[in-house]
Amino acid sequence: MSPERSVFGTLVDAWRITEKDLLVELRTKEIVLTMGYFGFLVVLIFSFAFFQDGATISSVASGILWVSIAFAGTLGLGRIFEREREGDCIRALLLSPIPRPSIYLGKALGVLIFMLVVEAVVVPSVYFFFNLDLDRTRAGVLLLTVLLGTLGYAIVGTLLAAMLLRARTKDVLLAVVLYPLILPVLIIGVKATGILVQPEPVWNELSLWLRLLGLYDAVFLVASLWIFEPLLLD
Amino acid sequence: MTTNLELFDQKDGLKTPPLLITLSVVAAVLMGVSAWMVFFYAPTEKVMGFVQKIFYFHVPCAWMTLWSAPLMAFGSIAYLATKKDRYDRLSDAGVELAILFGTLVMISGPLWGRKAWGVYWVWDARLTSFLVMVLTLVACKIVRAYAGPSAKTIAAGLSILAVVNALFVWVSVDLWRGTHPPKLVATLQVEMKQVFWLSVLSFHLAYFAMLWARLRMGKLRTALDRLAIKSTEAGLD
Amino acid sequence: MMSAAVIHLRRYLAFLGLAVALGWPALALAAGTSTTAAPPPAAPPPPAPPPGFERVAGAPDTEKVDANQLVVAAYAVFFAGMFGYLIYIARKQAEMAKEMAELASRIDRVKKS
Repeated sequence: MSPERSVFGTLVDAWRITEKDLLVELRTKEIVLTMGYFGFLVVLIFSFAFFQDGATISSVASGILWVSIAFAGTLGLGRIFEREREGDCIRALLLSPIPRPSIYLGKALGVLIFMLVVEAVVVPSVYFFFNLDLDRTRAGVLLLTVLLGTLGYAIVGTLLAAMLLRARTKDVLLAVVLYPLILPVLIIGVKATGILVQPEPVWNELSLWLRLLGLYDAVFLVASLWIFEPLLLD
Repeated sequence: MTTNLELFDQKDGLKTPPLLITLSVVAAVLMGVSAWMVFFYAPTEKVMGFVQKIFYFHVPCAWMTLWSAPLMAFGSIAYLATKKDRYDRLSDAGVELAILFGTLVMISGPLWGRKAWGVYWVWDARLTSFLVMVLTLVACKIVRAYAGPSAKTIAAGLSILAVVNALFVWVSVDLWRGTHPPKLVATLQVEMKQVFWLSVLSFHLAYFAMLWARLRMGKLRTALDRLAIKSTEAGLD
Repeated sequence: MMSAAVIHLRRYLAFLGLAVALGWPALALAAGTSTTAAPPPAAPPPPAPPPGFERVAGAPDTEKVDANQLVVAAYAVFFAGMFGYLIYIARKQAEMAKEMAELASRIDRVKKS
């Protein structure tokens, strides 16, 4: 049983976990480099798959963007927990006097940060290969969309990756389990970004999709905090 | 002394309960009657025409899928809290029935949509929520089959998440302007209402028959597993 | 045990608050972008929500679609699905019950000898 801590204390502990992950990552740069390169490759492959009559079809760009993020994210999610399993670090982590929600939040924040770094590569390459325009307002809104979508991805993905930690064939299962649950994020993200790449964005509709993304994040954050603890007890 | 059959009574324990058989037969007959009434009693709808007849079975199927959601949510939460196999079986039965009825909904819906909307599928909130829920539950069954020792816990967590996901999309139905028709039951003609409620009744009976049978099957599986352990202990292979 | 449950409850309530606190600014921010970032050329308002029976834009003509086939296919699927499942369960149960009875009698025989 984890000791009781205040919400602030829980967050501080969560940050310590994130800090540790970031430190490890800064030394090896393994996850971010592999994820980022893979994401870039996915965008590249899609861009020539949709290459017609001397130009790439730009209307599919928003779909490609989110698919690349989802693919690259799966790669990173599997790895960030695989690292904990090597040398049974997860056992040490679970035995330490840190509340379970902190472990979850810390891991999720780490995943979020890694994915944001990767998106700094993926998003510009989508805009490059698909010949899209970007002004200041759109860049801001795009940033918000990607941030909210990635947050939802990290919240759900971290929970599932942690759940599957002890499962057999977990690499295969993660993809099978993650994509159905993340489908709303992908659909909403694609719709929102699709509006953004149009010459005349419909801002009302965009704000609706963004609110839905925010709602998804809030709902799943609460649900994950609820069920993370019993799932990791044994 | 004969060997204890674990979860079943020694006397006639393994026979299917007569009440279950009766319930199944009644449900099947009522289902046939409703189908007959759909085609030969209910009037053809003015706007939609003949294709509207899908509605009489499509909507009850959707309701049965929704019934399964609290069932498996309760089963999963109780399993995570107590780790008793009984609740795991309940959750598994709920998941399976939700997959069954959800699939029926998602096959019949597009067949209607082909005529009404011109396309089989649109990414509407309600369609999406159903699809997402069923896909997650299928993933749940896959996990159960292949995840090894911790499968039950993972499956419980996943089915809770599936319900949360469906709830999320349910809440967002208002925001996410949909193509799916709004609630129509109150606007039906009298004959249509009669047929509709009869089919709702028969679906409920069928649902409970299936649930009972499925729970019994889970119980048999657990008992069989325990008996297999006993047989190994007794020196059988 | 009771106190542990109370502690849990309190912590989850606190997290609920946290999630709401995190979620609402996101919503407010998202709502804000629509008002502040509205472009000068007024975007056309989205069309009124359809009652649910309108043809999807760009869809092929539905006049030619045969409703009879669709309805028959749907009902065939309903019945095949439900009865198929029931039959599957029934057969599985019979199979397992038989296996159990067999196993029990074998165990009995081993015990007797």
